[in-house]
Formats: sequence, C-alpha cells, structure tokens
Amino acid sequence: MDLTIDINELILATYVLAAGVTALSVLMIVLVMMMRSATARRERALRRFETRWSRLFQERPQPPSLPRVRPSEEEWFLIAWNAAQERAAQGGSDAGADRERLNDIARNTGMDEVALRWLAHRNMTRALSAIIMLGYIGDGRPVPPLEKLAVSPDPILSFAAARALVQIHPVWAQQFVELMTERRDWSRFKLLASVEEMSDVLERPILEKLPDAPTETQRELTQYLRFFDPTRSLPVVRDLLKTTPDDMTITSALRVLEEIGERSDAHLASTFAENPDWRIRVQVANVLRARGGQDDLAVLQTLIHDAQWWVRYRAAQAIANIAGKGEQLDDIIRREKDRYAVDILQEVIAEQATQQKEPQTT
Amino acid sequence: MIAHFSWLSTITISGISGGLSTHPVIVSLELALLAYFLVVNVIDFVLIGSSMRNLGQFLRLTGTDAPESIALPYAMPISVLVPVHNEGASIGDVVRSLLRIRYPKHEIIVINDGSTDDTLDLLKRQLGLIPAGDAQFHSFRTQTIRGVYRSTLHPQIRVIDKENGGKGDALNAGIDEARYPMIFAGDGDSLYAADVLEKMIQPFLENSRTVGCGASLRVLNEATIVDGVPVRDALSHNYIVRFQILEYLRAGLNSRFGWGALNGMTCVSGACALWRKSVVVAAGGYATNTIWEDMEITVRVHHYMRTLGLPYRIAFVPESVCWTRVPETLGELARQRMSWQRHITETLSMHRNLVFARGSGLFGWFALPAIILTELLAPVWLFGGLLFIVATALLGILSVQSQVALLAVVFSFTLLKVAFSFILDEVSYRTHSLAEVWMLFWAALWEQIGYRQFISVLSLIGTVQFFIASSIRGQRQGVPKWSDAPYDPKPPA
Repeated sequence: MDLTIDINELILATYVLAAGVTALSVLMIVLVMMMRSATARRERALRRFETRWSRLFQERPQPPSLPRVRPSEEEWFLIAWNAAQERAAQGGSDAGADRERLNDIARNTGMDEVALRWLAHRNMTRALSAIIMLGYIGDGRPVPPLEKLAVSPDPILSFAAARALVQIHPVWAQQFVELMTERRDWSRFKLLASVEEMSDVLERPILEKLPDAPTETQRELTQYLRFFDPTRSLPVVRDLLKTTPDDMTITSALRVLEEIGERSDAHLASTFAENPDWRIRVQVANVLRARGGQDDLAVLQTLIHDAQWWVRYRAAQAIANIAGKGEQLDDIIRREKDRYAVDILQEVIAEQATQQKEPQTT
Repeated sequence: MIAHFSWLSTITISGISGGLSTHPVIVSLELALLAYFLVVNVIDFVLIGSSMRNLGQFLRLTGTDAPESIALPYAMPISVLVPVHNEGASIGDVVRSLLRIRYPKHEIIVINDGSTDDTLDLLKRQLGLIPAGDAQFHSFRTQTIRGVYRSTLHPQIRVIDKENGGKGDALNAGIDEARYPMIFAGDGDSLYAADVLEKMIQPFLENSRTVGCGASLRVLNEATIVDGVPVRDALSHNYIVRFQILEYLRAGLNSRFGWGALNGMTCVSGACALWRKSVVVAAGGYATNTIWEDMEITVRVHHYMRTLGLPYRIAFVPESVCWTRVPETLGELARQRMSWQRHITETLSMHRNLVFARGSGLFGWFALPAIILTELLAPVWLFGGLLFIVATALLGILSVQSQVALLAVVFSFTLLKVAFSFILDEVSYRTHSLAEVWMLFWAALWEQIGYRQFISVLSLIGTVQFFIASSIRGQRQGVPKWSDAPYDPKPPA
C-alpha cells in the first residue's frame, strides 16, 4: 500500500489544526466571559432571593401569603431554609416555635413536595439539601426512600439519610447505632457532632448496646458517652473501666470521666497511672485535672516525671489547677528536683497567666 | 515533492529534497520529538480531565448544606510551623496574618532559622517574647537551638531561635516543639487566609486515610496589605509576574488538583502544606541536605506509605488560601527556577527506585514518569528541538514551513491549556476579574516567545547543577548526589 501525502497539504493541515485549536481557546475565553456574566446575574438574583426569604423566615406571625418559589430558585430555597432551621435549632426558648413556623412555610410553598422528588436526584447538592429538609420537617412520607438511601453505598448520602430518619422517627435510633458501627466509611467527626446533637434519642440504644458489644464496637461507642446524662452513662463507663482490657476503650472511657465524671472517679482513674500506654496516662492526668483534689497530688507528682511530654504537660496543668496560685504550688516547684518537671510547671503557670490576659486556646 | 521512509515502506511523506531529509536518523528524530509532544499533551489533558471531574464533585460537596462544618469542633488540633530567615521586612505582616487564622484548636510556632537581620528582635517586640522551656520531643537532630520563647501577648504563639540549617532543618525543629498531631508547614514570606486551616482540614475530616493536603497559591506582589490581609489584589503590570500567575494557575487547577484526585501529587507546596505529624516523623522528617524540601517530603511520604503498603491519600484543596510573593526580576526568577529544577532532579534521584517499582501503583507507574517527562526532560526536548532546527538549517534541509507549522501547533495547544485553567477557575473560585482574564490570556500569547525558553534554559542549568553537585547556599553538608543510594523506607520499630 502506498499512501502518498503532499507536504504542502500536510503543512496546510498543521496550520489548520493550529488555527482551530487557537480559535477554540479564544472561544473558551469568550465562554468564560459569558459564564461570568451569567454568574453575576445569578448572584444578584440570589442576593435578592436571600434578602426576601430571610425576612419571611423570621416574620412572626407567618404572612398570610407567601411568594411563589420559581423552579430556578428551588435549590436556593432549600439551602436557605436548612440554614434557617440550623439557626433556629441553636436559638433560645422560641426554637421549637421557629422550627414549626419554618415547617409550615415549607408546606405552604410546596417545597416539601419538591424535596420529596429530589431524594432521587442525581445532583448531590439537591439530594442532600432535600434529605436535610425532610429531616427537619419530620413527617413520615419520606421514610421509605430515606431508608433506601441510608443503606446506599455513598457515605455522604447514607449518613445524611440515616440522620434524617432519626430526626423523623426516634425509633430509628436503634438502626442508626447499628449503622454507625458498621459503616466505617462514614466520617467519624460528623458522627461525633451528630451524636452530640441527637444525644437525647441516641443515648438509650448506645448505652444498651455497649456493655455486651465486641471490642471494636465498644471502642467506637465509648467516646459518645460524654454527651449523655451522667447518671446513666457513668455507671456504664465505670463498669467498662473495671472489665475491659482494651487500651483504646480505656482511653475513651477516661475521656468520658474527664468530661462528665464525679470527684470520686479520680480514684478510679488513678489506678491506670502506671499503664504502659502513654495515651492512657495522659487521660489519667486529664481526669485528675478536671476531677482531682489534694489527695491526687501524689499521683500527679509521679506523672510529672513521665517520659512522654504530653503526660508531663497535662500533669503539670492538673497540679497547677489543684494547688492553685500561691504557696502550695511554689512549694511543689521548690521541692522538685527534676529540671524537666520544673520547666513544665513554670511553662504551664506562665501559659495560664497569659491566657487570663487574653483567652485563646492552645 | 515526495520522499520515502526506508523503514516505513507503506507510507510516504514529502520532504524538501529527496536526499538527506529522508535519512532515517532525521526522520526518527522528528518522530521522536513529535511523539514527546503528543505524550506530554496527553498527560496534560488527562490531568485537566481529572481536575474537571474532581472539581465538579468538590464543588457539589462544598456547596451543599452537608454537615461538614459541624464536624469542625472535633477536628484535630494543628501546629502551624513557620520558618523565617531574614524576613525583617515582612515579618510584621506575616505574624498579623498568622494571628488572624481561626480554628478550634491550634498553635503557631515561628522558627527563626539563624536570621542575621533584625527578624528576632522584631518578633520579640511584636509578641512580647519571654524565654520558655526547651523543645520537648527530640525526634530529629537539628542545628543548635539557641532558645525557645513564649509570647506574653498571644499564648498560642511560640518562637524557636536556632542556628541556620535551612527550611527543612527549621521545620524539623518545629516538629520537635509541636504539641499537636497535625502540622501545617508555612513560609516566612507568605500570607494566609483566616480560614486556611478550616479549609485544608476538610479532606482529613472526610477521609481518615488522608495524610497530607495542599492548596492553591495566589500571587501577592501587587496586593495592598492591611493588617496582614491582602485587601486589594490588582494584576501586576510586570509581565514576569503575569507569566508566573499563569504558571500558578496552570499548576494549581490543571495539574495539582488533577493529580490529587488520582493520589499522584508529587509536590505539596512548602508555603501551604498540612500533614499528619506522625507520618512525617515516621518517614524521617524533612530533608536537610536538599535545596528545597517540599517536593522531597511529598514524594518521600508516597514512597514510605507505598513501600509499607499502608492505605493513604494526599489531597488538594483548590481554594486560594495562601498568598506568596514571586520574583519580579529576571535575576530573582533565574535563581528560583534553577533551584526548583535542582530540587526536582535531586528528589527524582533520591526516589528513583520507586519509578516503575512493584507496588508503587499509579504514583510510581504514572505520576513519577510523567514528572520525568514533563519536568526533567522538557528542557532537553526543547533544546533537542532547537538543535535539530539549527542542524537541519545548516545542512540545508530545513523545512521552514513545516517547522513554523509545528511551532504553531505547540503554541496553540499551550493556549488551549491556559484556556482550560481559566474555565476551571471560572467554575470554582473566580480569582480574577474579566479584565484580568483577558490581560492574562494576552500575556499567555507572549509567554511562548522567550519566557518559556528562558525557563527551559534555567531548568537545564538546574539539572546540570545537581549532577555537578555544587555547594548550595554555603550552609549544608552532604548535598545529595546522583550516585547516592536511593531512599529506602523502614517500618517503624
């Protein structure tokens, strides 16, 4: 086979390719300009929309008639409405009334129906916004599709759906707890925040599941106990500390004592002061810092000589808290022979003095 | 006029004369150059495609009311490490910028790396520094620590004063002082958005396998800075700066974001890098004998994690949360680019055993070879092409028309990639006004004539410098050489 190509034709083809690609590039820049214009128009429209609807969301009582939400505004509405619900949830005594009023607005504008349709939307923004809205509205219609979404492979959608189901039907809390421990792809940080938010409904299923659960599950669930009523969660934590050999569970349990424990828990925590795992020893120091008293100073003065900096640091903070500013603390420092222990105590004292001038977290 | 390929008997292509232009060597060289051009552009467009896909997903997630932000109070605390060396002129703005960072729990450690100007004095005055305890962790051997200071005005800031050892050494000293499990490595001449940590922690909150994260950089040169914040960001009139803005735009959106989606990022910029401290420590900390440190630590983390078979990812956040100054003169630019290329070469040499290695995955089989082709060999390709043109001209067989046509194609494809970066910027964060987009596109036309060739010359020099292994900055011992044994990660004890 002999394919003959004239070089002039080849060169011409190359120039045409170059010109075509250059023209495409220029067209893309023109496209950028058109997109920018469209974005600017959309942003102006969004600002007008948000101004109008944020006023309507806050009006008490609800106005007799509400503006129609155009199809192009539906997504904006869901996002703004969800944000308003979030603010209402953080609000004061009127929170419940505000949320119910927002629910009424969603029903009266027909946006609850839109949200129902959008549960199956391919656009994740719309699907997520719809799930969140339906969770706030709380009626039973979306339960079947939400139950399907809650077990879908997508971790973001499944988590949001499961959370919404708990908001709609607290009885779903049991299944949520099962999913929490099964779905390793769910963000642990979002779980923490959600459990804190929904602690009232998740407390019982978690407390019931914890004592007989396998080690992996105990590790996962123990950390949430600090969000629950101490009268119910502390007995579970104390039992766990007496029975579990798992270091991570012990660390989490001690963290719970730090947050919600009682004065008497300091003694229980002290029994772990010589644990080989430094993370447990840090938590012991934390518990003593939060719950300890004068009779715990001996343990802390051992921890302040620990090989691990974090253990020494937290123990020094605990000593400074318990001894307080004054002669006792000065005496402890004076009698301390370990240079590193003295250093860490002086550092903690100086930090506390600076924090009192300008409170910042470190 | 027709000529025949002696080795491709089925196709004939015309040449200028029937003699030397048909020589197999010349034809092979032409095809090799063409093949290189095609491969490099395929790689670039694969990355652009990856970026576009990833950007769509990223924007959908960040645009929703999904409870990412509710997880922030539980995010890991971060130690912000900022090495400074002779930054007396800008340290005030840098510190003010750092103090504006908001995050649930973070600390700031400024490491004065043997400054010979008034940097330390300025820090002492601005922060009300008093001596504090020694660095506590001692994971690394660093140059002598002269003192550790605490701020009496801002309890979250500490300052380490040490003898000069370079940025890697300073960061290692910072890691030793750092209390928290995450470290953010910054620069002493960069400014940061208040939400830099909030934005960069998101990949870690979303995916527990994330061990590192980079972000887009913006050029600071023409910005008006008020209290550590760039408040007016005008496009520089200096074309050297404009060309670099184009490079940062392409590098960020076209390249790094695309690589991030493939877990193939080869360089998390040293001006803005968030790492899990334990991973950096396990991988051996920052290199102290390289001319820069950012690409080497990124590749080292890949190397370490892949060799040990640990699941991980290094992410990229496409938002511009960091402003950095770029060179404004050809001299400054030359020094920077030669050193960058040297760093690329030394890093590839140190980790050469990862290229095409078993278990190295996409990183060893695609990302590193792509860097070799597009960064290391690019100046060789350019000079090869120029030499080819000169040689064929001297031999009287140069087809001026065909060479101009080929150059036009190269030029047009470069413009196309610039246009894609503007599209990506437009659908994401729109960092430039429309007028600036046109000005930058106009600059992209001129970038091809002289500037890119200049950068290629500098790159070639940088590569040669590595092989000559000349002394860097007069400060460092044991600069890496191509003959050194490659990095061999060891599992933790």
